[in-house]
This record gives sequence, C-alpha cells and structure tokens, in this order.
Amino acid sequence: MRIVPYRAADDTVDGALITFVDVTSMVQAERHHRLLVDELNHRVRNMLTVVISLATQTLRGARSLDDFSSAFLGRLHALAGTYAVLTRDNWQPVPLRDVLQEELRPHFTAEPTNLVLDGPLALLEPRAALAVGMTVHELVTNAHKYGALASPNGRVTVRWRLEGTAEHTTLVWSWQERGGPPVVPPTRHGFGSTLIERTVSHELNGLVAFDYRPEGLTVTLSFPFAAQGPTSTARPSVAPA
Amino acid sequence: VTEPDLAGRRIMVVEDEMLIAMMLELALADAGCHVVGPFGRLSDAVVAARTEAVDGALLDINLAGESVFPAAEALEQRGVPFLLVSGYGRDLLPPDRRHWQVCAKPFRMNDVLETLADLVRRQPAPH
Repeated sequence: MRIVPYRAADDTVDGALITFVDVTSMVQAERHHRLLVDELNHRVRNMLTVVISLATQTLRGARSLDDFSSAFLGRLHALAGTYAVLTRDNWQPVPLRDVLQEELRPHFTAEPTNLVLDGPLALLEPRAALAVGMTVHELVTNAHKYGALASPNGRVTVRWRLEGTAEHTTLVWSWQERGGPPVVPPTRHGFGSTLIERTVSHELNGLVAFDYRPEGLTVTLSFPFAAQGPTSTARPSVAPA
Repeated sequence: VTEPDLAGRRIMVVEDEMLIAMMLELALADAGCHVVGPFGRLSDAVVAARTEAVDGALLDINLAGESVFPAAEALEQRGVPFLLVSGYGRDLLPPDRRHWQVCAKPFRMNDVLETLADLVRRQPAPH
C-alpha cells in the first residue's frame, strides 16, 4: 500500500491518494524460491551422505588402495551417469534402455557385438532409475572381473518385459552372461551382491535371483512397475505398453 | 575418544535412502547393537514404532516426501528415545517439538552414535 498527498493546482494538499498493489505473486515467488533453495540444500546434504556411505562401505570390502579406488570411483561414476540421464530429461521418468546404455557404455565398444539390449519402452521414475543404474553397474563390473567379460568371447544379453495387467504391472529384467570362464558360485558375500539385493528389495520393492550356471551367470529382477506415460507432460506420447 | 556405549541395545532405523541405511546398520552392528529395520516407508515405520521392543531409534525426517513425525510421536508416547537425522535444519520441527534432537546430514558417524548412546542412557526404554 502506498499513500501520497493529493495536491491541487495551487499546490495545497487537498487529499490523499492511496494505491494498493497486489503483492501476492511476489510473495508466492519468494516462497517458491525459498522452497527450491531448501530442497536443493536437502538434496546436496543427502547426496553427500550417500557418497560417505559408499566410501565407508567400499572401504570395508577393499583389499588394497587400488581396489578401493577403482571400486569407489566406479560406483560414484555410475551414480553420476544415471544422474546425467535424469537431468537431461529434467528429472522426468526416463527410458530403462537409456539408463542401461549410460551405465554399460564405458564397458563396451561403440558398436558392441557382445551386448544385446532387448525390451519394450519402459519409463522409470528417478528413484527406480538410480536403483537400476546401480545394479547394472555392479553386474557389469563383476562380469569384467570374474564373469563373461573377463574373456574375449564373452557376451551379455539384457532382456526385459512387462507382465500383468495395466493396474498391476511387473517389470521382469534379466542379465545373462555367456562365453566366459566356467562359473563357480562365490564363496563370500561381497558388498556388490549385498548392494544389488538391498537395492532391489529396498528401492524397487522387488525380487532378485542369482543363477550361477557353469555356462554363465543369470540374474533376474522383478519389481512392481508404475506406468509413467499419460501423466508425464514432458512425454505425452510414450505410455508404456 | 570414548566408545559410545550401545552394546546389546535394540535400535530401530528409519531411513529411505538405502545406502545410508546400510551404513547406519553396519555402524550400529559394529557398536554391538541389534538393528530393527531399516524401514524406508512411513507406514512400516509407524507400525514398528508402536509395536517393536526397542531401546532407541534413528529416524530420517524425510521419507520419500513424507515426514517421519508420526513415527516419532509414537515412540515418544512409549518413552523410547530417538535421534532425528535430517538434511533440513531444525526449522522443520513442529513448534511444540523443539526439544527433539536433530543431527544434520552429512553427519559424522561417531556423533550420531554418541548422541544416541546419551539419549538411551538418560531414558532407558521400558521393555
């Protein structure tokens, strides 16, 4: 509100002029800004805590400084990779295939002949995308160290499908390795497999099965899949089947 | 540095970020605690807060957009001490709940364990 004297032609004050300015939108904008800053602070602090968690737990399983360094940085880059996909798409649900490609890219050639990615369009909300990204990273790292990708003829096939009804859809996702050295089931339960199990149960609310066949490891994930199509304004035309 | 005395205690963990939950679990297990949880969803946390026999709790304030306060209230009613963990400041506490202890993220694990041990020592939970 603003009050100014109203002056007549002879400069005598003849009244007052009161102006009301609606500041609702300014106040709202300020409040919105405050909320965004708070949320950003929260996310940064949370992310730092996640990084500390990764460091602490990777350190526990590490046999040497080199071992720690590659495992820790690999996990950080995996996290960063999925974040890159998510920020590119403005934190909207992202295609599962994009997450897989991002996480697998550093481990294969540009046009890989030893990698098959096969499945329908399936959009993952950010939490699920981060969980899948982390899982794939652990699997591909393991495949390099001990599995199919440790041998020149090794190959990986990743398939996924959507099952169930429109209301209750399950995403079934499998990682199959072939052509590697004969598989021996691991004797110790490392942080990598714990990470996968916990990610699937805690973050995806799903199930995971490890099948250590001599001809190659197969890992199958299934988790409730929330259809992300029609409500997503950024991608109006991509409702998953 | 004194070791926080939490050996043999049953500690409930509520944290929706899986990696952070895992770190808390490991640290509590190292301190000799029995971990109840971790719970990542408010509904599970509230049920556990009402029914589980625990000596103390670590509660992340924000659970996938939901506030953990209903679980905190349930614990307070039962006289179970708890420590809130949050990426937000103390401002988030309801005005009449300013006495609740908050540990800011990112936290030093030893601070969390010491504060929790203090709370548990001062207010032993009835089993």
